[in-house]
Amino acid sequence: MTEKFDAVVVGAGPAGITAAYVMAKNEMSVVIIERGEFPGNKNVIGGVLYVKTLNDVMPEFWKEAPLERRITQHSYCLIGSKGHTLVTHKGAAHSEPPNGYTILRAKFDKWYAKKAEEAGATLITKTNVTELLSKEGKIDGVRTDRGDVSADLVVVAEGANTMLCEKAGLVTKPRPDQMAIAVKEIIALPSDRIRERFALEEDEGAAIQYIGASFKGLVGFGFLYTNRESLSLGFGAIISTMMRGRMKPYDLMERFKEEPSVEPLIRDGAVKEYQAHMIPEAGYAGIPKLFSDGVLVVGDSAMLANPVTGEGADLAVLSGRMAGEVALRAHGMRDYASRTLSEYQELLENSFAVRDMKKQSGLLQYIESNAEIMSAYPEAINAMLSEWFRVDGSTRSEKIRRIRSIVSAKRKTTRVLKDLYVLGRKLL
Amino acid sequence: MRLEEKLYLLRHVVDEESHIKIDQEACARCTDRICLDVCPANVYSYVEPKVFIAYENCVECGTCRIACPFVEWVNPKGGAGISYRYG
Repeated sequence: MTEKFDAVVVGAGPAGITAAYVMAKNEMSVVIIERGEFPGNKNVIGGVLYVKTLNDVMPEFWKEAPLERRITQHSYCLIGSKGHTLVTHKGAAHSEPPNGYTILRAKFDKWYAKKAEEAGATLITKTNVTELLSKEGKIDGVRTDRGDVSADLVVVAEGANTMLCEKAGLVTKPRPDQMAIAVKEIIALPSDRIRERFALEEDEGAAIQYIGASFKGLVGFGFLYTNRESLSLGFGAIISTMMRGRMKPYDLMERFKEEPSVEPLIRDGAVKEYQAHMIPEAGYAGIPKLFSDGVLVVGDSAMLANPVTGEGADLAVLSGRMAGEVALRAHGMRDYASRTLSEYQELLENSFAVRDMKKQSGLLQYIESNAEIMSAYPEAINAMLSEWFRVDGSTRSEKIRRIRSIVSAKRKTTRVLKDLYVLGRKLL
Repeated sequence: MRLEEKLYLLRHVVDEESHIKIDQEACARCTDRICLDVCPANVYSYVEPKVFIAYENCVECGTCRIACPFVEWVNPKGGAGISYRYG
């Protein structure tokens, strides 16, 4: 039996649910097809959902959503072979809406999908979409392992594994240098221990990004986020750099857990879950054409992720909203052709998120071809500070001279200047 | 903590059929066998003369599909596969 909807959304993650929510709320008939047992049980997030884009779709959602901790404390931890340096920022004022929350996807996505259902969308779980169907070049439905569904519009939110998009010729299969593999553990700790260890108030949370020696030769980051009664600890690295070093993700994870900057924070914690997921890291150049006759591509499938800020889920929401709004206009005109749907890509291009990604173009490639950057600077900074804080009878000017030679031993001055120039141009 | 212990914590709904297929001929010629290293769940193992796939341990990240051109990886059928309790 074939059922007909105005729109079918493939995948109940933040991108797909947002698109479905926007369309259903405005009287389109929408079905979301999710392959998992329930929305969220296939999904992984590093840790933080930034509030802004979802608050635009659903004002004050953070007052009722199942969230973990409000992130008030951001740190960078630079790991050296003989010590580490922690830079922490803690905001004094409580902003409204808050900037970001840690979330656990099994809870959050389930809640969010319920919101789309309340808005009128139909949710079908345990169903795998195997193919996009088309007629005379226009996508007009999907094939699932439980039958076909036809629709005027298909919104593909299949996540980082883009088999459907590849099969339909919308995207090409990503290369190993365009994707990162991230592994993560959920480590249970009582709430009062978390508050003490990270110096947090009741619902406050901390986020730490780790850069440095533990990931030698890899282009990647470690991360630690606090949930209510657990920590999310993990790291992600560009797959091609993992391949080059022939490193096993779980071995690196174990080494990371033994780092002196990590171990005291997770001590006595019980591992509750081990997870792995890919993150698109192709940047702006990797964003494909996200529309065709009868179809829009959103979220991770659209390669929307920002390695610098750690944004992903909020960009999924942003793209889902834009796709939903363009779908409403297409529905109003009863015209789902490329010329109408192309507005989606224009909206994204002009968004803060994609403009940032555009500016950062080439940054990861630069770091990849200068992979020693990832350890040389943390190493130099740690050596400098260790020299600076040590009282050993030498004068401060002698120390400055020593520090200068430490830095130039780690990376030549001309390279340092070039690194600063590239980083400055791509980030500022 | 050993990987086996971590994998033991995970909940899977096991499909009777593997969602991962490999080209055994290509694997026999392959000297690289990157699959043995990149997979975070150690799904692949090599026992002379072939590569074995413990598909029931797969966490569906898809890394092997990106790292190796001979892996034919599709989603497990609806409702099957990894089922995270936290995510």
